[in-house]
Amino acid sequence: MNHNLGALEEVVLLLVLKQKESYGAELVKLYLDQMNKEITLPAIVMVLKRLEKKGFLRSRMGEPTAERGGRRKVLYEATQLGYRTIEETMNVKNAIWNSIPKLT
Amino acid sequence: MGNLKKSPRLADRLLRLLCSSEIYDELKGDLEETYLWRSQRNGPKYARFRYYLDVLSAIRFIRMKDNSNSFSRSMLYSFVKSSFRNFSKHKFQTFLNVFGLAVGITAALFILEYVSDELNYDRFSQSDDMYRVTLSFSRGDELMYKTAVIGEPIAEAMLNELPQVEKAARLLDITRVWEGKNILTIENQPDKTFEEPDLFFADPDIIDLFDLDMAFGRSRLDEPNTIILSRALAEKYFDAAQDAVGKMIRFQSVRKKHELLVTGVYEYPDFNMQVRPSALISYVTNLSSGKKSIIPMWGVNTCLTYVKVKPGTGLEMLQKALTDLLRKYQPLVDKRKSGMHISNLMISPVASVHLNSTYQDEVGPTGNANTIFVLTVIAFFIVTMAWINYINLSTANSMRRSKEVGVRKVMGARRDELIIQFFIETFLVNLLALSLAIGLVLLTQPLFDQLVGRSLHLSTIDLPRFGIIMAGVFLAGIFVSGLYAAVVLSSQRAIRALKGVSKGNSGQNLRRGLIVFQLLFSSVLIMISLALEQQLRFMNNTDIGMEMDKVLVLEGPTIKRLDSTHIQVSELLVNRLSGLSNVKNVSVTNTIPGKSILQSSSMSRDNSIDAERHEIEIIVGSQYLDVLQTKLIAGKGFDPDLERRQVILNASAARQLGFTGPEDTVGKLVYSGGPEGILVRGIIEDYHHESLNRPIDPMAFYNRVGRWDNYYLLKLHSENTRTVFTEVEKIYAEMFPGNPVKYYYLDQFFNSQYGNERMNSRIFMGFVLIAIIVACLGLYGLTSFAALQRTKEIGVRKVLGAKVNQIFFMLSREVMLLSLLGFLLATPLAYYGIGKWLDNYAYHIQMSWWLFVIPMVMILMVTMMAIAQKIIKTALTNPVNSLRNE
Repeated sequence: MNHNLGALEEVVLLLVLKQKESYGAELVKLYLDQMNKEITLPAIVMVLKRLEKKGFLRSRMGEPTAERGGRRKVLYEATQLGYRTIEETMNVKNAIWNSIPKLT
Repeated sequence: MGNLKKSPRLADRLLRLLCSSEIYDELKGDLEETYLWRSQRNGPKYARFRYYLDVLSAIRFIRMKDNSNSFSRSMLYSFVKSSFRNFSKHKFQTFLNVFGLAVGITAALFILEYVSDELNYDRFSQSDDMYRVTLSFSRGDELMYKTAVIGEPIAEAMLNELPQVEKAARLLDITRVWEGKNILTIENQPDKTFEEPDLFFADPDIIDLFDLDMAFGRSRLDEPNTIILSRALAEKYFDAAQDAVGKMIRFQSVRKKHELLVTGVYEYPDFNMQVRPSALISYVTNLSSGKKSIIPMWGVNTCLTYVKVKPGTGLEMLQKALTDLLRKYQPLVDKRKSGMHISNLMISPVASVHLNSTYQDEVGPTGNANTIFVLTVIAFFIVTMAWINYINLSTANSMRRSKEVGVRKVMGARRDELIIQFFIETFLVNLLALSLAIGLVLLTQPLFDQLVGRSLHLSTIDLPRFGIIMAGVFLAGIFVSGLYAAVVLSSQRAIRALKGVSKGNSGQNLRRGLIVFQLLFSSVLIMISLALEQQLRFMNNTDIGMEMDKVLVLEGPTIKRLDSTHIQVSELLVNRLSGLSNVKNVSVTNTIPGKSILQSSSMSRDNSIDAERHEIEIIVGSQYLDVLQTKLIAGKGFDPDLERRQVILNASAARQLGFTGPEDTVGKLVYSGGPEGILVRGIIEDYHHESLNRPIDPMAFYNRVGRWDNYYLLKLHSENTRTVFTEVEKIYAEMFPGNPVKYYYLDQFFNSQYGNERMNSRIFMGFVLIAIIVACLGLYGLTSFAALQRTKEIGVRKVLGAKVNQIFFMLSREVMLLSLLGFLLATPLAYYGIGKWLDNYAYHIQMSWWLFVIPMVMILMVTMMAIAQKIIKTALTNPVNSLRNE
């Protein structure tokens, strides 16, 4: 199993953790808010599926809502493994970042 | 907000196409939500734009699209089942489909057998480094001929002087030097005396080069007076092949007689051999002690010579070394003065000899690479025609299938499922056709063997070479023909399909184009086969300038005394034969029409040293010209009382020697091989001594035969042969004991030169027939389609008073026009091809208009026959029947 995280995978995983539980449409919105950049929905969903396959996320069917044309949403939640992995990634990055002399 | 303008239909369909239903559901919900949110935030225009962008980017899910639920095992079973139901329901249509394909595949398989057999020549284990050595001769700078048999000393010289040459072996057919025959006998067993045409004197290395496998005993070809036999030959002379080893066998030819010890029996390798020796006598047997060759001259063409070079030897380097070698042994002589000289010593890869020989004096059978290529192309096209038929027949019947398609669609079948269904059907039809074709091949193999004059089998097909191509072509054919049929059949709208209204014009032009192609191909084949047949008849029937009718050839004796007493014996034989009641006259001769003339001499008009000399072929015969009834243009025949040498020339020789007219020639002197002038007694009209694909050589006829009594020609009064044969056999046995007697008719022998042409003509005829059958099936399909489609129109026309013949004309017009178009396109192609082919013949037919018109009439007639039944049936239908069912 591949435990590496791509850049987009990292962001999506963080956003899911931030929301505790999230789904495609919400993540598109969040992405725009946080990153100040538009992203296409299939790109997000693709990443969600990939993260689920890697075992960082699990999904369940949510309740149908009116604004979705009566369709159920698929909700994603981070697993223990997902949490640990992103934690480690961030620690490593922070460690590196901290070792860099700061520009004033 | 929330109005239903939000999800554009097009984008939705695209999304459905791109991803599996599961992902579609998730995406669709999310997309709608995002759309809503975006249009609130940025306005509907932007939201729509982003929506499309999202849908397009969903292409990334296409790989995850799961097909497993659209096609399952049970579905496959159901498709196969319904295919067979359909077959049994429409037996005739299925028969047409399967039969057409099977006939095409059968033809292709036969062609592949033949082609494989032709390519399966001389695959010696060392053939990569094996070459055959050849010579070319020139006069001045003009190339005169290239020969496959070369002088004896060349092999020796190459082996000694060229470091690249590892092995060399000569094969010498002694009858090429001294005429006569090779006769093997076992002492005291006169019934074991046979003529052996494929017997050679050979160097020891031949065993290794030719991959001969010793079954019994061993080869001792390095010792004199030894022989090894092929298994077949050993079984002919001895009770069992292994009994041969250690026995003595006697070899006799015109000049030589050897008692030989059989030291071994060999097996042939399992491929075809261009030269297939039936027995090998050690080369040294032929030589008196210490000598390297019988005739130590490079330019006396006697031996087939094979060499094996070191692996990796560059061809160009080797060729250069050969040229140097040639110049060392055969210094360039002054070109202007000399007659013929050796101009080049060449090598050709041994594997290419059979198909690409351009040499004279070939010993074994030669094929033709062009014929092989043309046959392969024909095989491909015939199968293609069969697939075209499949397309035409199955789309023509789309109406019949439309109800089924409609019901299936209503029941929820997707289009790709229908396509798969029709694919399976195509596959099954092809599979049936293939099995039928294999059956047909097995059944008709003897017929084909007879046609090509060899013994072939399905296993002859060279699978390593053709297997992948065959499978590829077959699968591609199935795919393309099946795909087209499937797409057309499955494209109908459910409602229209159910109503029985077919999409009329779909692919009509394609269908027409395919028909035109089929007719074009058939027309070309018909034209070519007509031309072949015509040329063959031309060659058989042309007045070749002599009478071969009722001329019996009796081969002269091999075992004879080589002194003047034999001449008396020969004369006695002529007298006794002439005395037979059915015999008109008899001639002894050195050669007969249909055999190349082996003797020639240079002749000139004056006796000085630098006189211009001409190479003239020589025929000697006591009454040769009388028996063959050649026509004298000028002068008289030989004067038997004249003491001096006399000669009769043919018109070509007289022309070449520079005589201005026939009257000027007679009574003049020519010189050849001596200071004594030879009196020219007469000139005869040129006659074709060899087949018409060779030009007429200049020839000189002498009346003194000497020891060259190779043949006796008997002109018979009538073909009442029974008594003549027994009498001839009796006399021959009395006068030449120990010689096998052999006789045949001259015309049969002469025409056997055209064996290749006859075979080609028959093969073409066969394929013409197949092509026409296949094309007719296609026409039939097209016509039934057209007739069905216009049923209603015809009904209306009949109601309004159209006559049957008008409707007939209306329906047949299209097919007729297509045939005509195919024919018109075929004409220039055939004209070009036939013209190219006829150039191979020195004497050939002129292409006349009817060569092209007869095929046209044939094509039109056959087309008519193919479609008439269907059209008449349609035209005669009661309009009530066609109009009432709506």
